[in-house]
Amino acid sequence: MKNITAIMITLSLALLACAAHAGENGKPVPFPADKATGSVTGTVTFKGEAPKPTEILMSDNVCKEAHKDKPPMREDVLVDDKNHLANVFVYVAPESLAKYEFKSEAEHLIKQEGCRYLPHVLGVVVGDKVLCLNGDQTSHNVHTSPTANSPINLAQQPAAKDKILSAEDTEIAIKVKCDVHAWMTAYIFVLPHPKFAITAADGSFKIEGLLPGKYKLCFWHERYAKDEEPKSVEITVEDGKAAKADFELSK
Amino acid sequence: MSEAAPTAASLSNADVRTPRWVHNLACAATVIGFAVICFGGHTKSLDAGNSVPDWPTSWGSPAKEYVYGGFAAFFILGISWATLRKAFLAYLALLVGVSMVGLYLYFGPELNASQGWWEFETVRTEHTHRLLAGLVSLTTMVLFGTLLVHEKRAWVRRLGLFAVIGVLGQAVLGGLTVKFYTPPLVSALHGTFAQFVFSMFCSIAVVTGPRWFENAAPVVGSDDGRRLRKQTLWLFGAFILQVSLGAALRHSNYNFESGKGASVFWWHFGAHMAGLLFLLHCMAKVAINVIRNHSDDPRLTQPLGAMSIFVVFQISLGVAAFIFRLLVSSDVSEAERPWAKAILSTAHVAFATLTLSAVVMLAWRAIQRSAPQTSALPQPAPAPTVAPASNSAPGALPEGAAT
Repeated sequence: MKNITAIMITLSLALLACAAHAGENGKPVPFPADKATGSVTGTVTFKGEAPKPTEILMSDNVCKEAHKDKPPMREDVLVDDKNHLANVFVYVAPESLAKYEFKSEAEHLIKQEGCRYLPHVLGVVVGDKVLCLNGDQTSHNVHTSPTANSPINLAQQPAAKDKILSAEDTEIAIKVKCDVHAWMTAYIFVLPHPKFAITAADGSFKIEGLLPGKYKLCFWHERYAKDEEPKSVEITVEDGKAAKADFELSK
Repeated sequence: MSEAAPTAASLSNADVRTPRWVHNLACAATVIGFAVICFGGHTKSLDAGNSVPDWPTSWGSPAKEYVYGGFAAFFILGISWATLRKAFLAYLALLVGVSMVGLYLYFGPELNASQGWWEFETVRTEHTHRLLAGLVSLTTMVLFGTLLVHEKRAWVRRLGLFAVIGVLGQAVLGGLTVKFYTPPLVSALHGTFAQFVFSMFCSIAVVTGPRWFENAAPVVGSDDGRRLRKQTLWLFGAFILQVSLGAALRHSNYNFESGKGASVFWWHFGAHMAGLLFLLHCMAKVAINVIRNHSDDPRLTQPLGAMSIFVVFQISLGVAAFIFRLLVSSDVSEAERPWAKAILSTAHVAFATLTLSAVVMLAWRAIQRSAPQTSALPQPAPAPTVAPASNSAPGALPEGAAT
């Protein structure tokens, strides 16, 4: 009996020691930003015939008034005349930079203007905060539905400014919506690093400050590359040079 | 044949007869309860459960102090009336309750200076659901109070108490769905329990109604009556099970566009279909029993007929809602959800409630017909006994005697 007890205690201590040792080996190190002179650029295009833009039928008089000069159009697919796709979230896969730690406590602002969320797509780093400002003369509710972070459903009167997200954990595409104005949506990405970009109206993007090496570059779009179906490419970044990564999305 | 003398049963029927206006109040609670369920179902169909972010206020109105104070006053007055049986306390409780509902209606959510809350579809649906829920809570509590005073049958008064507990429990569940941003489990429970509480309203309406106290046709056979009771209770259980499986399916949060949550959705769908088969099996057994052995009793055949019609509509609407959801989902965002897509799902919920009401009527009638003579339930008048003829075979039962 004494022998069995001694063996159990020894095994437990050995396991604890292994766990502690493993933790020490896996601890992330600060990212050497001064050595990160590489970058990646590219353009995202839409393959095929892009859907025609459709008008949003707004029910709120304040929202209608804000768009009286130009009708509001859906923003889930923004394609220019050269089939360049905007609002694609391009990011380095977290596992590609897992051995580095990035500390951040920045504050980001999403505005509600003309009954739209601006920006429509936002990337933040773990540790950041996201605030929301109601710039309209009508009330909105800001409703987030994350799975790894804390959700919120907040009533916002005109001019209210409130924190809607404390980025605690990595999460792709946290949807933000207003339940009163159903067309209002935005997406927030929480990543453990700041190596991401959002394609502009001409479909272009640029991610700077990368160390030389191989990376997995991921593409997300709310209609054509959602979180359940990640699109990605492998890229190789050289010191001081810009890697090229054009990408094509389709229906 | 001599005329049957008044029986003890028929005398007791008159003694325990509930006043007509109490029955009308129960019917009102049932109708309002149906409306609450319709608007609640439509809230889910529109994904409007979070469009009023706070509870028990609505977009901050009325102020929390008034809400909690009003609830407290209503409860204190209500309990005082039930205890002291002073009529003026009842009127005060009613006044406070009506004022509370009126306060919500008058102040209501205020989203902008130029539009009323009823002009926003999601807010209109959710807030109306809350208003009707407040009204049905008020009606149920007043109904319970009137049962305490005017209802002689203790088991009916208990049913009233259970209805009050049920409706308050529903209010708490509704608050939790808002406070925790419509978590699927709580939301599904809120949807299922609503039907259960509705069945209590129906039950009170049935057992306080004038038809309940009418002399019924004699029971064909005690075994047969017990079998029917058992079958209708199984039917009720199967129905509640099917409602809970349907609620789980509706709240499985499957995104048809992205495919997120597909496996959970299809599991729930399979369970709902299995539940449907079991429910239809129970319905068929009840239908066969009623048609074969109780076709002379309109209080069984009428709800059976209604149930059969409702269930056909129910299944058709379910199929239509599902197909429409599959066909329309591919390229349409939430902002442009067609009106028909939501209304089909809501109608499916509404017809479930109507079917449930028929099931409840069937069950209570079956319980009544199978109740033993000594029970507290009013009994059907026994068939008149006739003296046996002198040339009848020895051992033969007298003509008309119950078997």
